[in-house]
Amino acid sequence: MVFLPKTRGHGGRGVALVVATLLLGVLAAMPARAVPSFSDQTGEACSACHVGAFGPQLTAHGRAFKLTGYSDGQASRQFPLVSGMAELSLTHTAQGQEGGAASGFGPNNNGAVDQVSVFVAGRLYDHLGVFSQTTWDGVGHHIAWDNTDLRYGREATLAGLESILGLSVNNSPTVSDPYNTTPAWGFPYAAAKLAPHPAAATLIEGGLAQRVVGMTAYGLFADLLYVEAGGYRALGGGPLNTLGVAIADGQVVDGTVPYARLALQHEDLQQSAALGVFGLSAHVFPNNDRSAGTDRYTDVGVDASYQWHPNRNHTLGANATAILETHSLPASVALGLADSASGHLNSYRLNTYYTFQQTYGLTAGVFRSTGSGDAALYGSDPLTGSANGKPNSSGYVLQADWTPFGKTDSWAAPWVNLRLALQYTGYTQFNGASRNYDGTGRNASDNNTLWLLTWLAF
Amino acid sequence: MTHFPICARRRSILAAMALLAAGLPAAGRAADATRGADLFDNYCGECHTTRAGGGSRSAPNLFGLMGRRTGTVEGFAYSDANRAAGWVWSPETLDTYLAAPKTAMPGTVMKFQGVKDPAERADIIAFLATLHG
Repeated sequence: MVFLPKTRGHGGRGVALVVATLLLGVLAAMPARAVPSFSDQTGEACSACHVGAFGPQLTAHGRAFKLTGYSDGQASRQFPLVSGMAELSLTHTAQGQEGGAASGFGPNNNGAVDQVSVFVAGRLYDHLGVFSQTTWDGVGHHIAWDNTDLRYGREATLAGLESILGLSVNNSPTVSDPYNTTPAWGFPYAAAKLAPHPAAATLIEGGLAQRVVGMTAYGLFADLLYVEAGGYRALGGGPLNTLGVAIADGQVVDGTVPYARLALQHEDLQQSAALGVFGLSAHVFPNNDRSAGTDRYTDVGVDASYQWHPNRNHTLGANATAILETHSLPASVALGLADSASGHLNSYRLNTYYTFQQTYGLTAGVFRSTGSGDAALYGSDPLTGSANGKPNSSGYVLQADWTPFGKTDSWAAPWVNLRLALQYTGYTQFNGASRNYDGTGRNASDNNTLWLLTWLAF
Repeated sequence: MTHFPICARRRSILAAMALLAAGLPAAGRAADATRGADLFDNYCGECHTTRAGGGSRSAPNLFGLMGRRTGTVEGFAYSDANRAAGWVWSPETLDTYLAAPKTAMPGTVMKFQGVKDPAERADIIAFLATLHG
Protein backbone atom coordinates (compact mmCIF):
# COMPACT_ATOMS: atom_id res chain seq x y z
CA MET A 1 0.00 0.00 0.00
CA VAL A 2 1.28 3.43 -0.89
CA PHE A 3 0.86 6.33 1.46
CA LEU A 4 0.89 9.78 0.03
CA PRO A 5 2.46 12.33 2.34
CA LYS A 6 0.26 13.34 5.21
CA THR A 7 -1.60 16.57 4.77
CA ARG A 8 -0.44 19.28 7.06
CA GLY A 9 -1.63 22.77 7.88
CA HIS A 10 -3.97 24.43 5.46
CA GLY A 11 -2.74 22.77 2.31
CA GLY A 12 -3.59 19.28 1.07
CA ARG A 13 -0.16 18.05 0.13
CA GLY A 14 -1.50 14.82 -1.29
CA VAL A 15 -3.58 16.83 -3.71
CA ALA A 16 -0.60 19.04 -4.39
CA LEU A 17 1.49 15.97 -5.20
CA VAL A 18 -1.06 14.76 -7.71
CA VAL A 19 -1.34 18.21 -9.25
CA ALA A 20 2.42 18.54 -9.41
CA THR A 21 2.68 15.13 -11.03
CA LEU A 22 0.13 16.06 -13.64
CA LEU A 23 1.82 19.38 -14.29
CA LEU A 24 5.15 17.71 -14.70
CA GLY A 25 3.62 15.19 -17.06
CA VAL A 26 2.17 18.00 -19.11
CA LEU A 27 5.47 19.85 -19.09
CA ALA A 28 7.30 16.73 -20.17
CA ALA A 29 4.98 16.33 -23.12
CA MET A 30 5.29 19.94 -24.24
CA PRO A 31 8.09 20.38 -26.72
CA ALA A 32 8.04 24.13 -26.62
CA ARG A 33 8.56 25.08 -23.01
CA ALA A 34 11.59 23.60 -21.35
CA VAL A 35 14.23 21.49 -23.01
CA PRO A 36 17.55 19.91 -22.10
CA SER A 37 19.49 22.95 -23.07
CA PHE A 38 22.75 21.19 -23.88
CA SER A 39 21.01 19.14 -26.55
CA ASP A 40 19.29 22.24 -27.78
CA GLN A 41 22.70 23.83 -28.20
CA THR A 42 24.57 20.96 -29.79
CA GLY A 43 21.84 19.45 -31.90
CA GLU A 44 22.92 16.08 -30.56
CA ALA A 45 20.78 13.60 -28.68
CA CYS A 46 21.40 12.94 -24.99
CA SER A 47 22.91 9.61 -26.01
CA ALA A 48 25.88 11.41 -27.60
CA CYS A 49 27.15 12.47 -24.21
CA HIS A 50 25.44 10.13 -21.74
CA VAL A 51 25.59 6.38 -21.29
CA GLY A 52 22.02 5.11 -21.47
CA ALA A 53 20.82 8.37 -23.04
CA PHE A 54 20.28 10.01 -19.65
CA GLY A 55 22.59 11.88 -17.30
CA PRO A 56 24.86 12.02 -15.52
CA GLN A 57 27.02 9.12 -16.70
CA LEU A 58 29.30 10.48 -19.42
CA THR A 59 30.62 9.02 -22.63
CA ALA A 60 34.01 10.08 -23.96
CA HIS A 61 32.22 12.63 -26.11
CA GLY A 62 30.42 13.96 -23.05
CA ARG A 63 33.68 14.33 -21.17
CA ALA A 64 35.12 16.34 -24.06
CA PHE A 65 32.02 18.54 -24.11
CA LYS A 66 32.41 19.23 -20.40
CA LEU A 67 36.13 19.90 -20.55
CA THR A 68 35.75 22.36 -23.42
CA GLY A 69 33.45 24.52 -21.38
CA TYR A 70 29.96 23.23 -22.25
CA SER A 71 30.29 25.46 -25.29
CA ASP A 72 30.33 23.17 -28.32
CA GLY A 73 27.55 23.08 -30.79
CA GLN A 74 26.06 25.39 -33.29
CA ALA A 75 22.47 24.30 -33.60
CA SER A 76 20.21 27.30 -33.69
CA ARG A 77 19.21 27.54 -30.08
CA GLN A 78 15.46 27.52 -29.82
CA PHE A 79 15.19 28.29 -26.13
CA PRO A 80 17.14 30.05 -23.39
CA LEU A 81 19.69 28.08 -21.41
CA VAL A 82 17.02 26.65 -19.14
CA SER A 83 16.06 23.04 -18.57
CA GLY A 84 14.09 21.20 -15.92
CA MET A 85 14.25 17.91 -14.08
CA ALA A 86 11.97 16.12 -11.66
CA GLU A 87 12.21 12.94 -9.61
CA LEU A 88 9.02 11.24 -8.46
CA SER A 89 9.34 8.07 -6.44
CA LEU A 90 7.84 5.36 -4.28
CA THR A 91 9.98 4.14 -1.37
CA HIS A 92 9.59 0.89 0.53
CA THR A 93 11.89 -0.22 3.34
CA ALA A 94 11.93 -3.69 4.86
CA GLN A 95 10.82 -2.20 8.16
CA GLY A 96 9.12 1.13 8.57
CA GLN A 97 10.65 4.12 10.30
CA GLU A 98 8.83 4.89 13.51
CA GLY A 99 7.60 8.46 13.59
CA GLY A 100 7.75 8.77 9.82
CA ALA A 101 10.44 8.60 7.16
CA ALA A 102 10.59 12.38 7.25
CA SER A 103 8.46 15.19 8.52
CA GLY A 104 5.07 14.87 6.92
CA PHE A 105 5.60 11.33 5.63
CA GLY A 106 4.46 7.96 6.88
CA PRO A 107 6.66 5.22 8.34
CA ASN A 108 6.85 3.30 5.08
CA ASN A 109 5.69 3.02 1.47
CA ASN A 110 5.90 6.71 0.76
CA GLY A 111 5.23 8.43 -2.51
CA ALA A 112 7.00 11.71 -3.05
CA VAL A 113 8.16 14.30 -5.49
CA ASP A 114 11.75 13.90 -4.35
CA GLN A 115 12.99 16.97 -6.10
CA VAL A 116 12.39 19.41 -8.89
CA SER A 117 15.38 21.16 -10.42
CA VAL A 118 15.87 24.03 -12.78
CA PHE A 119 19.10 24.15 -14.75
CA VAL A 120 20.82 27.03 -16.40
CA ALA A 121 23.14 25.16 -18.70
CA GLY A 122 24.90 25.94 -21.92
CA ARG A 123 27.30 28.17 -23.77
CA LEU A 124 27.63 31.74 -22.56
CA TYR A 125 30.36 32.74 -24.98
CA ASP A 126 33.00 31.01 -27.07
CA HIS A 127 34.69 28.38 -24.86
CA LEU A 128 32.71 29.61 -21.83
CA GLY A 129 29.73 27.76 -20.45
CA VAL A 130 27.78 26.96 -17.35
CA PHE A 131 26.04 24.08 -15.65
CA SER A 132 24.01 25.39 -12.74
CA GLN A 133 21.27 23.58 -10.87
CA THR A 134 18.77 24.92 -8.38
CA THR A 135 16.71 22.32 -6.58
CA TRP A 136 13.48 22.22 -4.66
CA ASP A 137 13.75 19.39 -2.16
CA GLY A 138 10.38 17.71 -2.01
CA VAL A 139 11.22 15.92 1.25
CA GLY A 140 12.83 18.78 3.15
CA HIS A 141 10.59 21.32 1.43
CA HIS A 142 13.14 23.95 0.68
CA ILE A 143 14.93 25.44 -2.31
CA ALA A 144 18.70 25.66 -2.52
CA TRP A 145 21.39 25.96 -5.10
CA ASP A 146 22.75 22.63 -6.23
CA ASN A 147 25.74 21.55 -8.32
CA THR A 148 27.15 24.54 -10.14
CA ASP A 149 30.08 24.67 -12.53
CA LEU A 150 31.05 27.72 -14.56
CA ARG A 151 33.97 26.92 -16.80
CA TYR A 152 36.19 28.12 -19.59
CA GLY A 153 37.87 25.43 -21.64
CA ARG A 154 39.51 25.23 -25.03
CA GLU A 155 41.73 23.08 -27.12
CA ALA A 156 45.36 24.06 -27.47
CA THR A 157 48.65 22.62 -28.65
CA LEU A 158 51.35 22.55 -26.00
CA ALA A 159 54.82 21.35 -26.90
CA GLY A 160 53.28 19.56 -29.82
CA LEU A 161 50.67 17.83 -27.66
CA GLU A 162 46.98 18.20 -28.39
CA SER A 163 45.55 19.45 -25.12
CA ILE A 164 42.49 20.90 -23.48
CA LEU A 165 43.05 23.63 -20.92
CA GLY A 166 40.47 25.20 -18.70
CA LEU A 167 39.30 26.87 -15.53
CA SER A 168 36.30 25.95 -13.44
CA VAL A 169 34.53 27.92 -10.75
CA ASN A 170 32.29 25.51 -8.87
CA ASN A 171 30.67 24.79 -5.54
CA SER A 172 31.64 21.23 -4.65
CA PRO A 173 34.92 19.33 -4.78
CA THR A 174 34.71 16.76 -7.63
CA VAL A 175 31.73 18.40 -9.34
CA SER A 176 34.20 19.58 -11.97
CA ASP A 177 35.53 16.07 -12.54
CA PRO A 178 34.86 14.45 -15.94
CA TYR A 179 34.73 10.86 -14.67
CA ASN A 180 31.90 9.03 -12.93
CA THR A 181 34.04 7.61 -10.18
CA THR A 182 34.31 10.66 -7.93
CA PRO A 183 31.61 11.44 -5.35
CA ALA A 184 29.68 14.23 -7.07
CA TRP A 185 28.80 12.12 -10.11
CA GLY A 186 29.21 8.55 -8.88
CA PHE A 187 26.71 5.69 -8.75
CA PRO A 188 23.99 5.61 -7.55
CA TYR A 189 23.12 8.65 -9.61
CA ALA A 190 19.91 9.08 -7.67
CA ALA A 191 18.93 7.55 -4.34
CA ALA A 192 15.90 7.35 -2.08
CA LYS A 193 15.61 10.34 0.21
CA LEU A 194 12.95 8.68 2.34
CA ALA A 195 15.10 5.68 3.32
CA PRO A 196 17.74 5.49 6.06
CA HIS A 197 21.31 5.98 4.92
CA PRO A 198 24.53 5.14 6.77
CA ALA A 199 25.61 7.95 9.04
CA ALA A 200 29.29 8.05 8.17
CA ALA A 201 30.74 9.49 4.99
CA THR A 202 34.11 11.00 4.20
CA LEU A 203 34.24 14.75 3.89
CA ILE A 204 34.74 14.67 0.14
CA GLU A 205 31.59 12.57 -0.26
CA GLY A 206 29.33 15.60 -0.17
CA GLY A 207 30.41 17.11 3.14
CA LEU A 208 31.38 20.38 1.50
CA ALA A 209 28.94 20.34 -1.39
CA GLN A 210 27.30 23.72 -1.97
CA ARG A 211 28.92 25.04 1.23
CA VAL A 212 32.07 26.21 -0.52
CA VAL A 213 33.06 27.91 -3.70
CA GLY A 214 36.34 27.31 -5.44
CA MET A 215 38.36 27.55 -8.58
CA THR A 216 40.30 24.80 -10.24
CA ALA A 217 42.55 24.81 -13.28
CA TYR A 218 42.70 21.70 -15.41
CA GLY A 219 44.36 20.23 -18.43
CA LEU A 220 43.98 17.10 -20.51
CA PHE A 221 47.23 16.43 -22.33
CA ALA A 222 47.56 14.19 -25.38
CA ASP A 223 44.24 12.56 -24.46
CA LEU A 224 46.29 10.74 -21.87
CA LEU A 225 46.96 12.76 -18.73
CA TYR A 226 44.29 14.71 -16.86
CA VAL A 227 45.47 17.14 -14.19
CA GLU A 228 43.33 19.43 -12.06
CA ALA A 229 44.23 21.55 -9.05
CA GLY A 230 42.66 24.38 -7.14
CA GLY A 231 41.20 25.49 -3.87
CA TYR A 232 37.90 26.05 -2.11
CA ARG A 233 36.82 28.51 0.55
CA ALA A 234 33.75 28.71 2.74
CA LEU A 235 30.86 30.83 1.76
CA GLY A 236 29.70 33.09 4.56
CA GLY A 237 26.47 32.60 6.42
CA GLY A 238 24.80 35.41 4.53
CA PRO A 239 25.42 34.06 1.04
CA LEU A 240 24.66 30.50 2.16
CA ASN A 241 21.39 31.62 3.68
CA THR A 242 20.51 33.39 0.45
CA LEU A 243 21.36 30.23 -1.48
CA GLY A 244 19.18 28.08 0.77
CA VAL A 245 21.96 26.26 2.64
CA ALA A 246 21.70 26.03 6.43
CA ILE A 247 25.17 26.88 7.71
CA ALA A 248 24.67 25.38 11.17
CA ASP A 249 23.84 21.93 9.81
CA GLY A 250 27.29 21.00 8.62
CA GLN A 251 30.96 21.63 8.29
CA VAL A 252 32.40 25.06 7.62
CA VAL A 253 35.94 25.18 6.34
CA ASP A 254 38.60 27.53 7.63
CA GLY A 255 40.94 29.01 5.06
CA THR A 256 41.55 27.47 1.68
CA VAL A 257 40.94 23.80 1.00
CA PRO A 258 43.45 22.53 -1.57
CA TYR A 259 42.06 20.05 -4.06
CA ALA A 260 44.00 18.02 -6.61
CA ARG A 261 43.19 15.40 -9.20
CA LEU A 262 45.38 13.33 -11.48
CA ALA A 263 44.29 10.67 -13.92
CA LEU A 264 45.75 8.62 -16.73
CA GLN A 265 43.25 7.75 -19.39
CA HIS A 266 43.03 5.85 -22.62
CA GLU A 267 40.30 6.32 -25.15
CA ASP A 268 39.77 4.70 -28.48
CA LEU A 269 36.71 4.26 -30.61
CA GLN A 270 35.37 1.27 -28.72
CA GLN A 271 36.66 1.56 -25.19
CA SER A 272 37.96 3.92 -22.60
CA ALA A 273 39.74 3.47 -19.31
CA ALA A 274 41.03 5.73 -16.58
CA LEU A 275 43.07 5.34 -13.44
CA GLY A 276 43.51 8.22 -11.05
CA VAL A 277 43.90 9.79 -7.65
CA PHE A 278 42.18 12.78 -6.11
CA GLY A 279 42.05 14.41 -2.74
CA LEU A 280 41.70 17.40 -0.48
CA SER A 281 42.79 18.59 2.92
CA ALA A 282 40.51 20.79 5.01
CA HIS A 283 40.49 22.58 8.33
CA VAL A 284 36.92 22.58 9.53
CA PHE A 285 34.88 24.29 12.23
CA PRO A 286 32.55 21.50 13.41
CA ASN A 287 28.94 22.60 13.03
CA ASN A 288 30.25 26.12 12.46
CA ASP A 289 31.24 26.37 16.14
CA ARG A 290 34.39 28.52 16.18
CA SER A 291 34.99 28.42 19.91
CA ALA A 292 37.41 25.49 19.97
CA GLY A 293 39.49 25.78 16.83
CA THR A 294 39.30 23.41 13.89
CA ASP A 295 39.36 19.76 13.01
CA ARG A 296 41.44 18.55 10.10
CA TYR A 297 40.42 16.12 7.41
CA THR A 298 42.66 14.66 4.71
CA ASP A 299 40.90 12.63 2.03
CA VAL A 300 42.75 10.69 -0.66
CA GLY A 301 40.83 8.82 -3.32
CA VAL A 302 41.95 6.22 -5.83
CA ASP A 303 39.65 5.50 -8.74
CA ALA A 304 39.48 3.41 -11.87
CA SER A 305 36.96 3.06 -14.65
CA TYR A 306 36.51 1.06 -17.81
CA GLN A 307 33.92 1.34 -20.55
CA TRP A 308 33.48 -0.86 -23.62
CA HIS A 309 31.06 0.14 -26.34
CA PRO A 310 31.60 -1.99 -29.44
CA ASN A 311 28.64 -0.28 -31.07
CA ARG A 312 25.67 1.84 -30.16
CA ASN A 313 23.70 -1.20 -29.03
CA HIS A 314 25.96 -2.25 -26.21
CA THR A 315 27.84 -0.48 -23.46
CA LEU A 316 29.53 -2.38 -20.68
CA GLY A 317 31.62 -0.86 -17.95
CA ALA A 318 32.80 -0.70 -14.39
CA ASN A 319 33.76 1.98 -11.88
CA ALA A 320 35.78 1.57 -8.70
CA THR A 321 36.58 4.12 -6.03
CA ALA A 322 38.39 3.96 -2.70
CA ILE A 323 38.56 7.01 -0.44
CA LEU A 324 40.87 6.95 2.53
CA GLU A 325 40.30 9.63 5.13
CA THR A 326 42.37 10.49 8.16
CA HIS A 327 41.07 13.06 10.57
CA SER A 328 42.20 14.80 13.71
CA LEU A 329 39.35 16.21 15.74
CA PRO A 330 40.63 18.36 18.61
CA ALA A 331 37.84 20.88 18.18
CA SER A 332 35.15 18.21 18.15
CA VAL A 333 36.65 16.60 21.26
CA ALA A 334 36.71 19.94 23.04
CA LEU A 335 33.08 20.53 22.11
CA GLY A 336 32.01 17.05 23.17
CA LEU A 337 31.17 16.03 19.62
CA ALA A 338 33.84 13.31 19.47
CA ASP A 339 35.73 11.12 21.92
CA SER A 340 38.90 10.45 19.97
CA ALA A 341 41.22 13.16 18.77
CA SER A 342 42.25 11.17 15.74
CA GLY A 343 40.80 8.49 13.55
CA HIS A 344 40.12 7.32 10.05
CA LEU A 345 37.27 6.47 7.75
CA ASN A 346 37.56 4.57 4.49
CA SER A 347 34.94 4.28 1.78
CA TYR A 348 34.93 1.75 -1.06
CA ARG A 349 32.59 1.55 -4.02
CA LEU A 350 32.52 -0.75 -7.02
CA ASN A 351 29.86 -1.02 -9.69
CA THR A 352 29.43 -2.59 -13.07
CA TYR A 353 26.80 -1.74 -15.67
CA TYR A 354 25.43 -2.82 -19.00
CA THR A 355 23.22 -0.80 -21.34
CA PHE A 356 21.40 -2.26 -24.31
CA GLN A 357 20.33 -0.08 -27.22
CA GLN A 358 20.98 2.98 -25.05
CA THR A 359 17.63 2.17 -23.48
CA TYR A 360 17.73 -0.77 -21.08
CA GLY A 361 20.20 -0.56 -18.24
CA LEU A 362 21.38 -2.86 -15.47
CA THR A 363 23.78 -1.79 -12.75
CA ALA A 364 25.10 -3.77 -9.80
CA GLY A 365 27.25 -2.16 -7.16
CA VAL A 366 28.73 -2.89 -3.77
CA PHE A 367 29.82 -0.43 -1.13
CA ARG A 368 31.62 -0.58 2.16
CA SER A 369 32.80 1.92 4.73
CA THR A 370 35.05 1.12 7.64
CA GLY A 371 36.70 3.30 10.22
CA SER A 372 37.76 3.89 13.76
CA GLY A 373 35.06 3.79 16.40
CA ASP A 374 33.90 6.87 18.27
CA ALA A 375 30.76 6.70 20.41
CA ALA A 376 30.26 10.45 20.56
CA LEU A 377 30.92 11.03 16.87
CA TYR A 378 28.57 8.37 15.57
CA GLY A 379 26.02 8.54 18.37
CA SER A 380 23.50 5.98 19.54
CA ASP A 381 20.24 7.43 18.33
CA PRO A 382 17.51 5.00 17.32
CA LEU A 383 17.54 4.26 13.59
CA THR A 384 20.28 6.73 12.65
CA GLY A 385 22.92 6.03 15.30
CA SER A 386 25.44 3.33 16.12
CA ALA A 387 25.18 1.47 19.43
CA ASN A 388 28.81 0.36 19.28
CA GLY A 389 30.11 3.68 18.02
CA LYS A 390 31.48 2.26 14.79
CA PRO A 391 30.87 3.74 11.35
CA ASN A 392 31.06 0.46 9.46
CA SER A 393 28.42 -0.14 6.80
CA SER A 394 28.29 -2.38 3.76
CA GLY A 395 25.84 -3.57 1.18
CA TYR A 396 24.88 -3.60 -2.45
CA VAL A 397 22.76 -1.67 -4.92
CA LEU A 398 20.97 -3.26 -7.86
CA GLN A 399 19.27 -1.12 -10.46
CA ALA A 400 17.29 -1.81 -13.61
CA ASP A 401 16.18 1.12 -15.71
CA TRP A 402 14.38 1.94 -18.91
CA THR A 403 15.09 5.12 -20.86
CA PRO A 404 12.80 5.23 -23.88
CA PHE A 405 13.83 8.64 -25.22
CA GLY A 406 17.01 10.64 -25.68
CA LYS A 407 18.30 8.95 -28.85
CA THR A 408 18.78 10.52 -32.26
CA ASP A 409 15.58 8.97 -33.57
CA SER A 410 13.51 9.35 -30.42
CA TRP A 411 10.10 10.87 -30.45
CA ALA A 412 10.34 14.62 -29.85
CA ALA A 413 14.11 14.31 -29.42
CA PRO A 414 15.68 15.89 -27.51
CA TRP A 415 12.77 17.61 -25.84
CA VAL A 416 11.29 14.75 -23.81
CA ASN A 417 13.36 12.53 -21.55
CA LEU A 418 12.26 9.88 -19.11
CA ARG A 419 13.98 7.23 -17.05
CA LEU A 420 12.05 4.66 -15.07
CA ALA A 421 14.29 2.95 -12.56
CA LEU A 422 13.80 0.22 -10.00
CA GLN A 423 16.57 0.27 -7.42
CA TYR A 424 17.14 -2.13 -4.55
CA THR A 425 19.63 -1.38 -1.79
CA GLY A 426 20.55 -4.20 0.58
CA TYR A 427 22.59 -3.73 3.74
CA THR A 428 24.74 -6.41 5.29
CA GLN A 429 26.04 -3.98 7.90
CA PHE A 430 24.66 -0.62 8.95
CA ASN A 431 26.26 1.88 11.33
CA GLY A 432 28.57 -0.65 12.89
CA ALA A 433 26.63 -3.91 13.05
CA SER A 434 24.45 -6.36 11.19
CA ARG A 435 21.99 -6.90 14.00
CA ASN A 436 20.64 -4.46 16.57
CA TYR A 437 22.94 -1.78 15.21
CA ASP A 438 21.18 1.08 17.01
CA GLY A 439 20.62 -0.65 20.34
CA THR A 440 16.85 -0.66 19.94
CA GLY A 441 16.65 -3.91 18.02
CA ARG A 442 16.85 -2.64 14.45
CA ASN A 443 18.87 -4.77 12.07
CA ALA A 444 20.85 -3.61 9.05
CA SER A 445 18.54 -5.53 6.72
CA ASP A 446 15.54 -3.65 8.12
CA ASN A 447 16.81 -0.70 6.08
CA ASN A 448 16.83 -2.62 2.80
CA THR A 449 15.13 -0.33 0.34
CA LEU A 450 13.10 -0.82 -2.81
CA TRP A 451 12.78 2.42 -4.72
CA LEU A 452 10.80 3.07 -7.87
CA LEU A 453 11.88 6.25 -9.59
CA THR A 454 10.31 8.24 -12.37
CA TRP A 455 12.96 10.66 -13.56
CA LEU A 456 12.00 13.36 -16.01
CA ALA A 457 14.19 15.83 -17.84
CA PHE A 458 12.66 18.47 -20.04
CA MET B 1 34.13 15.47 -78.12
CA THR B 2 31.34 13.94 -76.10
CA HIS B 3 29.62 16.10 -73.55
CA PHE B 4 28.01 14.15 -70.75
CA PRO B 5 24.95 15.62 -69.13
CA ILE B 6 25.99 17.05 -65.77
CA CYS B 7 24.14 14.43 -63.76
CA ALA B 8 25.58 11.61 -65.75
CA ARG B 9 29.07 13.06 -65.47
CA ARG B 10 28.69 13.52 -61.71
CA ARG B 11 27.53 9.93 -61.40
CA SER B 12 30.52 8.79 -63.37
CA ILE B 13 32.88 10.72 -61.13
CA LEU B 14 31.22 9.34 -58.02
CA ALA B 15 31.28 5.84 -59.40
CA ALA B 16 34.98 6.25 -60.07
CA MET B 17 35.47 7.52 -56.54
CA ALA B 18 33.56 4.58 -55.14
CA LEU B 19 35.74 2.24 -57.13
CA LEU B 20 38.81 4.08 -55.92
CA ALA B 21 37.51 3.93 -52.37
CA ALA B 22 36.93 0.22 -52.74
CA GLY B 23 40.48 -0.17 -53.87
CA LEU B 24 42.06 1.84 -51.06
CA PRO B 25 43.25 -0.94 -48.81
CA ALA B 26 46.38 -1.82 -50.66
CA ALA B 27 46.55 -5.13 -48.85
CA GLY B 28 44.02 -6.44 -51.32
CA ARG B 29 40.89 -6.44 -49.21
CA ALA B 30 37.88 -4.93 -50.94
CA ALA B 31 36.21 -2.17 -48.97
CA ASP B 32 32.80 -3.07 -47.57
CA ALA B 33 30.31 -0.22 -47.68
CA THR B 34 27.79 -2.20 -45.65
CA ARG B 35 30.25 -2.65 -42.82
CA GLY B 36 31.21 0.95 -43.35
CA ALA B 37 27.62 2.00 -42.70
CA ASP B 38 27.69 0.19 -39.36
CA LEU B 39 31.03 1.72 -38.47
CA PHE B 40 29.77 5.13 -39.47
CA ASP B 41 26.70 4.69 -37.31
CA ASN B 42 28.87 3.71 -34.37
CA TYR B 43 31.62 6.27 -34.70
CA CYS B 44 30.02 9.20 -36.47
CA GLY B 45 26.25 8.86 -36.31
CA GLU B 46 25.69 10.81 -33.10
CA CYS B 47 27.00 13.99 -34.74
CA HIS B 48 26.66 13.61 -38.53
CA THR B 49 23.51 13.09 -40.55
CA THR B 50 23.51 11.51 -44.00
CA ARG B 51 19.98 11.98 -45.24
CA ALA B 52 19.48 13.77 -48.54
CA GLY B 53 18.12 17.22 -47.81
CA GLY B 54 18.56 16.67 -44.08
CA GLY B 55 19.92 19.31 -41.78
CA SER B 56 23.09 19.27 -39.75
CA ARG B 57 23.50 18.47 -36.08
CA SER B 58 26.68 19.45 -34.31
CA ALA B 59 28.50 18.38 -37.47
CA PRO B 60 27.56 18.90 -41.12
CA ASN B 61 25.32 16.65 -43.16
CA LEU B 62 27.53 14.30 -45.18
CA PHE B 63 25.15 13.50 -48.01
CA GLY B 64 26.97 14.27 -51.24
CA LEU B 65 30.31 14.57 -49.48
CA MET B 66 32.46 13.12 -52.26
CA GLY B 67 33.54 15.83 -54.63
CA ARG B 68 32.49 18.59 -52.25
CA ARG B 69 34.89 21.32 -51.20
CA THR B 70 35.63 21.58 -47.49
CA GLY B 71 33.58 24.00 -45.48
CA THR B 72 30.76 24.48 -47.95
CA VAL B 73 27.58 23.03 -46.45
CA GLU B 74 25.21 25.94 -46.45
CA GLY B 75 24.32 27.26 -43.03
CA PHE B 76 26.97 25.32 -41.14
CA ALA B 77 29.50 27.39 -39.19
CA TYR B 78 32.77 25.64 -39.95
CA SER B 79 36.05 26.24 -38.22
CA ASP B 80 38.44 28.65 -39.92
CA ALA B 81 40.71 25.68 -40.57
CA ASN B 82 38.02 23.77 -42.41
CA ARG B 83 36.95 26.74 -44.49
CA ALA B 84 40.51 27.64 -45.38
CA ALA B 85 41.70 24.14 -46.23
CA GLY B 86 40.32 24.24 -49.74
CA TRP B 87 40.32 20.47 -50.08
CA VAL B 88 37.96 18.52 -52.23
CA TRP B 89 36.70 15.47 -50.35
CA SER B 90 37.84 12.35 -52.10
CA PRO B 91 38.83 8.87 -50.91
CA GLU B 92 42.41 10.09 -50.56
CA THR B 93 41.68 13.27 -48.61
CA LEU B 94 39.18 11.46 -46.43
CA ASP B 95 41.64 8.68 -45.71
CA THR B 96 44.21 11.21 -44.56
CA TYR B 97 41.70 13.22 -42.56
CA LEU B 98 39.94 10.32 -40.88
CA ALA B 99 43.22 8.76 -39.78
CA ALA B 100 44.04 11.75 -37.57
CA PRO B 101 41.74 14.76 -38.04
CA LYS B 102 43.59 17.17 -35.81
CA THR B 103 46.93 16.34 -37.39
CA ALA B 104 45.64 16.48 -40.93
CA MET B 105 43.75 19.71 -40.38
CA PRO B 106 45.10 21.62 -37.38
CA GLY B 107 42.37 23.80 -35.98
CA THR B 108 39.46 21.59 -36.89
CA VAL B 109 36.85 21.54 -34.15
CA MET B 110 35.77 17.98 -34.87
CA LYS B 111 36.16 16.18 -31.54
CA PHE B 112 37.15 12.84 -32.95
CA GLN B 113 40.40 11.06 -32.44
CA GLY B 114 40.38 9.36 -35.81
CA VAL B 115 40.04 5.87 -37.20
CA LYS B 116 43.39 4.16 -36.86
CA ASP B 117 42.51 0.96 -38.69
CA PRO B 118 43.04 1.42 -42.49
CA ALA B 119 40.47 -1.25 -43.30
CA GLU B 120 37.84 0.46 -41.16
CA ARG B 121 38.63 3.78 -42.81
CA ALA B 122 38.27 2.23 -46.23
CA ASP B 123 34.89 0.76 -45.31
CA ILE B 124 33.64 4.07 -43.97
CA ILE B 125 34.86 5.89 -47.08
CA ALA B 126 33.18 3.30 -49.28
CA PHE B 127 29.95 3.99 -47.40
CA LEU B 128 30.36 7.75 -47.73
CA ALA B 129 30.87 7.28 -51.46
CA THR B 130 27.38 5.83 -51.69
CA LEU B 131 25.80 9.02 -50.34
CA HIS B 132 24.86 10.79 -53.52
CA GLY B 133 21.79 11.50 -55.57
